[in-house]
Amino acid sequence: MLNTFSNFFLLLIFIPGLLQAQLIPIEEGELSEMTGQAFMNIDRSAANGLDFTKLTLGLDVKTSLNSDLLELGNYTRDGTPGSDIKINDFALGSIDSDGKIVPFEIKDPFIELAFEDNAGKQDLVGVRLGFGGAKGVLSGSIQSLTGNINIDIRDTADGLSNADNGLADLTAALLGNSPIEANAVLVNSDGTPNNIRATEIGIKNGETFDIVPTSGGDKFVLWAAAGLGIGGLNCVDNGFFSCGKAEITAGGCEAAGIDVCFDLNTYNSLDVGKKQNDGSFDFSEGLFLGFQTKQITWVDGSTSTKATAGAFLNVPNGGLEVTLEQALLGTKRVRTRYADPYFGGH
Amino acid sequence: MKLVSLKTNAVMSIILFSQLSYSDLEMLTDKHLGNVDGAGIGIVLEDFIFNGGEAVNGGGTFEISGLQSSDNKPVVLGISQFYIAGSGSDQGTNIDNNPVNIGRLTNPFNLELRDGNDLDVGVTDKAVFEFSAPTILNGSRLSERPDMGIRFDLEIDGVSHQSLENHIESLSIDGSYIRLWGGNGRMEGELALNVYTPNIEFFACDSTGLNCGETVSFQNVSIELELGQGEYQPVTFEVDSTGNFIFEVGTLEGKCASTNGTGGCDSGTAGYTELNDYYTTGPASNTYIGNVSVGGQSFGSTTISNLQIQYLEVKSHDL
Amino acid sequence: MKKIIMNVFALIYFPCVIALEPLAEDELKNILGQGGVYLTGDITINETGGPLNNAADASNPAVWQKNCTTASTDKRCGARIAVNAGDGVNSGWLVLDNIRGRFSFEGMTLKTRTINSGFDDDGNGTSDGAAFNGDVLEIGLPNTIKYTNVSYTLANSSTARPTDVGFNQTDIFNVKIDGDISLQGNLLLFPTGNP
Repeated sequence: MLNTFSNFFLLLIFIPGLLQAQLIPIEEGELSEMTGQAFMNIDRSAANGLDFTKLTLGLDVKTSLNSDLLELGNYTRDGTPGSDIKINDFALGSIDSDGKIVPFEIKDPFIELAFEDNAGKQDLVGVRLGFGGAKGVLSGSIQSLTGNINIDIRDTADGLSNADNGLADLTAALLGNSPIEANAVLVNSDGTPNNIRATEIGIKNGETFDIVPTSGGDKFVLWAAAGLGIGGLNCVDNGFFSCGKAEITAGGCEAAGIDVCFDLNTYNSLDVGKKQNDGSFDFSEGLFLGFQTKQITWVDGSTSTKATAGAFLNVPNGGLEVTLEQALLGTKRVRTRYADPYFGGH
Repeated sequence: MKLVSLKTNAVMSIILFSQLSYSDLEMLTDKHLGNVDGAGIGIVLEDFIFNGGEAVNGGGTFEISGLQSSDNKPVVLGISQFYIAGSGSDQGTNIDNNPVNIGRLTNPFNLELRDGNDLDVGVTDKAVFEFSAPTILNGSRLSERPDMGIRFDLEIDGVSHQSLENHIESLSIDGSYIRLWGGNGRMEGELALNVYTPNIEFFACDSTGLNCGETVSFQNVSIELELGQGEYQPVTFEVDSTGNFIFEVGTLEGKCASTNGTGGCDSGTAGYTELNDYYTTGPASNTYIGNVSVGGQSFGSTTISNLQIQYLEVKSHDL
Repeated sequence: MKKIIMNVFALIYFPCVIALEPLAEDELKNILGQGGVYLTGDITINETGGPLNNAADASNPAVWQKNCTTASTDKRCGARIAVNAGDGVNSGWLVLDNIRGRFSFEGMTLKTRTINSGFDDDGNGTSDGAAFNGDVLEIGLPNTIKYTNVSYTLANSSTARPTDVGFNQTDIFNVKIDGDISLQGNLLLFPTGNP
């Protein structure tokens, strides 16, 4: 039988253009322009009895995306079925009224693994996807949330008029311009803090609405109002005919007759980021989505965050800020699609 | 007639690749397109085994270096083992005599020049390079689904810290493909990546590869990722002049001829039909993990459903 | 002076008629032919040499510009492939740089094969071979590939060559392989569609 010879060339072997390259002597100075550090870092650290391995990517991400459902940790927990995190119609980014996409921006994302030494064995006890910085609009119909969410309520007392409550209206009328501050966290409907599968967010029991007037006139009015016991105001920074700071204490999801706990799904769009004085947002750090097998503490620089077992979303202080109107009435969902079912399909 | 074999030293011709390689594809004229009739090259691997690493085959050096920690210490990832073999690989210990077929003769991996005018391709009057995995219909069976795994050791500044292991069982990437064409003076593409596996495991061991900790396993994993849609929403990958890369999924901004008062697109406006089609039947990604379990304890399922990307830009920068 | 050595040893079978003698039918039956090609390869890339100087030294053009030992990180050492996926003018290059090393293998085969049976999911499914019933080009993988100090760097670069003006490169990572890799099995290639 005749054999034929076939020409066979080796793939994957490339001889570069060195055989045809121009040769120009390269100066040492030019050689030194090569940078070595690329966009990936791997770190190992230890804290609180845990070892961490972290991969950080030097990336700037801008995105606009929509999803029908984001659900993590769907299992029976403490005898009750449900999901740790469940958000319907989840979206990042928005479309403004000129039809321009305003993307959600993420800086330097990282993946971190947490290990616990267990008789010489390294047990993987946690993994998280974190963002060195995040800013933009996060939208969704939040059914259930597990994690550490701090919403800063920052407004003037004027905003209390949204509370649909006589005393609140009076306080708003009297102290309209005074800055008001409050912090809301995930709660049960009785005001006790609950960061596992919470469906409400509000001012927890014992936490306060703080009214912090700036002008002398407002301080006097506050002193008088607190003295008369209007609106449950309690002055904690007393001066001579002047009150620098008064508090209304929340209990059982109420503060001076105002409802202070709200269903999560009334907040259809949230601005993530550090709010600046001019109303714009800067990147906020510490945002992460984690999955833990037991309660562990994640460390970001000088900040420690305790995360419960299961799926966990951490939005750090300063990461979310709303006005009283938004807190009391919820936020409308922004446009996230050019043909958006929330806007009639167009 | 006698046959005589002759050994000879011969210098083979090698393909010389120019350093300057532009990846633009020349536009094929209609005349040429007429000859492109959907023929491709089918690729199947039979009785395949791949196994390499510092802990197998008599050892050696298999490492990825040049990485750094955030305080500029050198980081080296030593690969103890990377394997692709048949079912029952038992985390890389049962590789010999355990081969796998990848692709099917009746449904192979396929390398082809597609007609861009085909409905599912969507690149007008261009030839599109396509490399695709077997289709999901009549897809890979158990003997065509490899086990795959990697063990690597983490060393920072000369100190070995730990060994990380990842094992994937019965992996199938049926339905995946990559399409590339030249458009707007650059390379554009469309990607689909599907990952189906009954079990992915992660665990860590000490720096010698022993004393392994509890296993985190993801069971019943189904990931379907779709990025881009022809020339309507192309995917691009470029390196900018500072040496950083930019990965982009084209934006939908500007697709509507004129937006209404709230920024949306009204039906009847030019561009609305395509946008609406995109939202109803366009590229969408889904992820489903049936169960996440750690040391036997279950943490439930995870679902990301119908994720559509209207715009994505990823730029790297030095840390 | 060191040279790049690049030898590919090929065992080539081709017909060579030495003497013509009629063979009887009985003898013809006993001749068995072996089809295909059996390859053994040993390829070295830039093991110790740098770029050749083909201009400066008229007396001996084949002078190595750089002394490139395996430890050298000089950017002029090693082979380099640069790809530009952008518009070519304002965009940069994805680079495989400093490619060097030696790899050798034995026993890569090439032949055609007719398949009309088998491929039946270990007996649990239909026979793809029977349904396929056609010819394939079979490339037999060499079982073991020996890598000796093979290394390369993945990088991004502002220009194609290190000698171009404005060169600025960011190395992402280096890969180094020195040992044996098992690569077993057959790669089957065949036409699909309606050729």
